[in-house]
Amino acid sequence: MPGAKDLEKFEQFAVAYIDDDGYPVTLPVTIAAAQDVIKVRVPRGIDPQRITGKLVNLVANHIVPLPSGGYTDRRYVVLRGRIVSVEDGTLHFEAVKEYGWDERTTPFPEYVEVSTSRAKNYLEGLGKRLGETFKPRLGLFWSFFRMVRLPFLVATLVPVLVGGGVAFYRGSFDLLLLLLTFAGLALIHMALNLANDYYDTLLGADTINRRPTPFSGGSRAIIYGIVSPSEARAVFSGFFALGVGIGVYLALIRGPLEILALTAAGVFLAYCYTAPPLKLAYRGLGELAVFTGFGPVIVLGTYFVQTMALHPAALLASIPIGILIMLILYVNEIPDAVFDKEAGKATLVTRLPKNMVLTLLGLFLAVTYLSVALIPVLALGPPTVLAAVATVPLALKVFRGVEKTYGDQYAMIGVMSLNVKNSAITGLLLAAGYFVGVLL
Amino acid sequence: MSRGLPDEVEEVLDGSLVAILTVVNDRGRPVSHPMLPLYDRSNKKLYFTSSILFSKKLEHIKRNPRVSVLFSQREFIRSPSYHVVMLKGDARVIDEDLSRVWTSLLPLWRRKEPYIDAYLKQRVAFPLFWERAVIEVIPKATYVWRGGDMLAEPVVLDLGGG
Repeated sequence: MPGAKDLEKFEQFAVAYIDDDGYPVTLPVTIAAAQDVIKVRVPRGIDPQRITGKLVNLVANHIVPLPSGGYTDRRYVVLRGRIVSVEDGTLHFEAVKEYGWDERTTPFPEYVEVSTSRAKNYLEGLGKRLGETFKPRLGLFWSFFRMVRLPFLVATLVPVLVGGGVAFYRGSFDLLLLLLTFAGLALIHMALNLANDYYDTLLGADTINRRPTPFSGGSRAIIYGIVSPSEARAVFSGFFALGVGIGVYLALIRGPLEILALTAAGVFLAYCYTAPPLKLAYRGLGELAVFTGFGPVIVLGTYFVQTMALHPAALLASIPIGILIMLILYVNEIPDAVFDKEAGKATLVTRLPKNMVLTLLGLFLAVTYLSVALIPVLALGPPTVLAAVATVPLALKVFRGVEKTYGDQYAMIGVMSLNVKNSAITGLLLAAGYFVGVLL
Repeated sequence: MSRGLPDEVEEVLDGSLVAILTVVNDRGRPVSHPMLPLYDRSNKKLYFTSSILFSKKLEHIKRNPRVSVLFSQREFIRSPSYHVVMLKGDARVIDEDLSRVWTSLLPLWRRKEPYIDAYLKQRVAFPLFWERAVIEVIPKATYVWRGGDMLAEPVVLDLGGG
């Protein structure tokens, strides 16, 4: 409970009580600090005796008006209590309870997050009153965008391009097949994202997370009520089915065994990533699953669809891109770690101390670039793939950024974004290296 | 028929960045919240918008429409003249179309928080925040401490509240 001293952080004070006419009254007041007693002086025209004994709110408010309009640095506290006595026209206030908000200690996004259940209850009540079902309205595109985490499809697009690039370099390329491969994999990726949300919500990892960001804490589509759990399950089941359908079609026209095996591996990793009983992400195996799924499975699968054969060149190319996509997850796990731990989701990051997490990050980045350098050394690709090494300064920036903002959910947003950019740009340069390499 | 507020009081309501809204809860106790006030001179009504994330006050108003609103603190009020104003009034919650009902107040809102459009563009990031009800307040009585002088008697205006 803030004492009189704490109230010095505020400029605007008011006392509210219920008047004899049943209306509330909110009066501007001045506050005097005297040890633990809060002395309140009401304006002229108000008889202090009328307030004595009444239940009152003492409101202390602070904002900083901005010269450009609006304001910032919001905080307020409301002390609920009673006026216990009056002395020389000054009221003595005794607080019992308090509520309020200080955006320095509870940033706005967290304040919004912790209030989610109230919003959903309100919508439910409104629905009952008006006989309709209410959901937050974003429009079909934005609901879909949020639900499947559309921008993250870059994590599928880049390995597909790498697989296609290796095939192109080795003399086989069919754009239509590449687009079809991407469509199938994108469906499975979107199903993965939605299944991940569904089970993380069910198992509590997303629900418990008070500080989600655009990169961590799940899509929140189920938590916010944009989509119901049963709708989410229906959509991810449908997407898995469509993705598998494309896989089966490709298997029929390009070679059944390898494509079916890779499709099965992809769907298995995507579904079991969060779904019980395996819950790979909850057992410290999520990173390995993501590396395998977005590295070897996608790159080899794409390569096979193009060439109807497997080759060590595709396997080697899958290693850097697999690690880079895995690192998107790895870095995004850092802000979630405190909540994941609480929910029993034992990701690699929750299992390791900060210095080990950073050491591994550095190691993974080093292996990424070393594996790129190995491609021309082992004559499994053109020297132009070395263009991917140009992002080393960006990778160093990511490392330093993670080190600097480690664990601070909102401060990490910038570095999480940079990490996604680094993974995408490095992967695109790698893919471009194969395509351009043919011309040399 | 409601008698209107004097121009100089309307200026205060119009220029205020924050006001303290007090509602009555179901146990008959006051509940106060600092909020952004939006005063519409054309119909002499005061508005607030409230996200359903912070919807307790909406429930309180639905059960008991009696409210009071305080405008005080010189640096929070951007108007040529300054007075401390406290009004009592009757409120109603407009929440039939939470996604849109508040958008009619955007011109008033924009004048006080010019950056609101930037937030609005991020609607996808905070979908529940942008499900907002409108609180409409019809002033019934106003207490004005002219020049913000709280050692002076307030000017009391009975607005009829029609």
